[in-house]
Amino acid sequence: MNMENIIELKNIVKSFGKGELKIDVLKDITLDIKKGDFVALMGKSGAGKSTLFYQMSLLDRPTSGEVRIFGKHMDTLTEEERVLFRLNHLGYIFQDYALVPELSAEENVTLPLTMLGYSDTEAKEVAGKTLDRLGLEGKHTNRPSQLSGGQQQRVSIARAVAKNPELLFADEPTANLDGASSDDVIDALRKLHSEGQTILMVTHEHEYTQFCNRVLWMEDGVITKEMEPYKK
Amino acid sequence: MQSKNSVLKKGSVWKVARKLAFRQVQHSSIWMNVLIISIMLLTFLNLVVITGILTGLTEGLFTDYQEQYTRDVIISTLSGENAISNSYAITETLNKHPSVEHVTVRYIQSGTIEANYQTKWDFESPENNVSTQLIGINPEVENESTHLADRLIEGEYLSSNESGYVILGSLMLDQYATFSDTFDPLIDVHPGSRVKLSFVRNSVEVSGVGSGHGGEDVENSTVDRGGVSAEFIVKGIVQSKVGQVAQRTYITQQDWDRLVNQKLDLADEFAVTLKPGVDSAGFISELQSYDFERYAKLETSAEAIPSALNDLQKTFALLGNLMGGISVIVSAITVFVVIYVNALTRRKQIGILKGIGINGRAIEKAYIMQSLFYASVGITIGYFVIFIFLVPFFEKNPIDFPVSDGILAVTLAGTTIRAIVLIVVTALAGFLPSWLIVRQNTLDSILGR
Repeated sequence: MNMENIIELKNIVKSFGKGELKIDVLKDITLDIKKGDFVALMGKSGAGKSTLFYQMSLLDRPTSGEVRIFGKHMDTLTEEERVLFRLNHLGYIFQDYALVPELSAEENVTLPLTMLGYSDTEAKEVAGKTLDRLGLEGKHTNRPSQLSGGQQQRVSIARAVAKNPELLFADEPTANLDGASSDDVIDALRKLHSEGQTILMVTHEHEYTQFCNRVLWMEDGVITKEMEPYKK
Repeated sequence: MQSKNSVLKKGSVWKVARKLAFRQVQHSSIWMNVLIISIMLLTFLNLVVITGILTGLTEGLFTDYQEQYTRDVIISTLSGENAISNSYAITETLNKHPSVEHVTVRYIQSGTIEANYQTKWDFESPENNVSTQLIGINPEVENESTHLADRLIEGEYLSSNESGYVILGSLMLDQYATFSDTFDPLIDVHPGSRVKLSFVRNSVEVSGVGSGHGGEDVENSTVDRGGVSAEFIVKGIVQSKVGQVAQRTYITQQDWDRLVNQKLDLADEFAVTLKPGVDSAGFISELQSYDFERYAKLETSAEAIPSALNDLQKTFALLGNLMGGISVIVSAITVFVVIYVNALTRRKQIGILKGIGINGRAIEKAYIMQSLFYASVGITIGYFVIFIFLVPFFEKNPIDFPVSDGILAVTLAGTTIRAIVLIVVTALAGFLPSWLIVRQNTLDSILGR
């Protein structure tokens, strides 16, 4: 294994259906993601980018092929081990924020920290600092319904990064946001990347790839090309 | 790769579960919370109160039986005997015993009581008579023991100073009898009515009959072929749900002595009231040590209760448990449905929680905690309703069942057992739906597939 590679995909195939109805959504994909990369995964709808994203983020298992993270074969992990692995090493930003509506912004952020065994005080302190870093001062006790879309997405980012994950996965993080809020979110990701965070992002918008160092284009289940990041 | 937890830290699952459960309950609709807690409360009340009332029905009967008839210990005639042969010694012993509060002595003779004989002008008209047990009592002592005077519904109570009066149990009278199809009750008998008592003497001695009405010795008492017949004036009518009280005819010991001519040291029943704290069984053991068992049947109040009543109590308890069991199942299904719908509507959220690394057990425990919260609140309110309101209420206002004054027979221990059953069932009903949702594929849950 190349020590610089965080994710290594080898001959990944993902199929749905059986027999004549079988569809290969991912077709023999081999890909390495290096530490510190900010990778954008682009493509038209149905190209397979979300499916590839789920394989890399351990939310799904490939039909065949090998997913290694930190050199470790992920297919040997049980479901419970994968949950624990995700907790320990991976951070997620979902398209629709996916916050727990009953919890405040701070509680949403502390939830994975508590699961990791942080004390209440430690978790609150870390969550508070992370929220502040993302420009959410004074919003700690607000519940998601009391925040704008952009603010909710930043809470979602805070939840993902508060535990210092080695890998941050962002699934179309700007899809539900207006232009200004999208810019805020992309700027937050840029800052995180500048601090050394490895990020893998799925996006439809080429303009949001301006801070990425790699932009992968997918078509029909295959990575067809590596594009230049967007330049103003 | 930095070193991280290979296993979850102890307690973190519970902490996350607690946080999720607390906030979900706190921020869910108040009406939904009220509804679920009401269901739990009603289930708990159903579980405890229905059984309690069914048991209380017979408990009330047993209590009435003890208070109005047997008292703590009843000493009665041995089977095959006409009377308790050593009554004098027993009376003396009981009267002097430091554990005894009251003793009422009863003399019993089977016979018939006839009314309306004055208006029966021919031999073909049916007689208006009923079978009864004629009881000779000291009215004042009997009243001290069983408060017989409190059961009066018409007229006045007997007095030892007067003669020729009788107290009738209401079940023998047409206006009160509820089972009149089983015998012909006495018609139109009220205080002041004249009735004729007839019975056969046990004793072979037949001496002059001193019987009368209105306090006078009268000449119309007759002795025929060993039988005795005498006219009395009805002084009062007693009503009770205890058959041994409501089907008897009471006269004074003096009238008994004159009519029956049975020696007063040949009693038929002693109802013994013990001082508070005295154990009935221990008292009987003491009487047995005096060899009283040779002369009489010695029973505690509980032992004297007819076995059919005991069987009835067991049947009611069984019925109560059966109905309670059904209500527990209904409640479990309700909690299951509520939690299942709740978990199903949050399926995507559960998937996301698993996606970000929240352990499935924490999510399941959160739902179990929610169920336990609803059960605990419902049960706690239930305890207050039962022990602060219902039990005192039914003690003051017993349910007027045909056979007894029903109370709510519940104990703290029995109620707690039912509470534990309900909590366990509710926890299972909360766990099962969350387990069904949590075990689903994480990505399928997130994508709603």
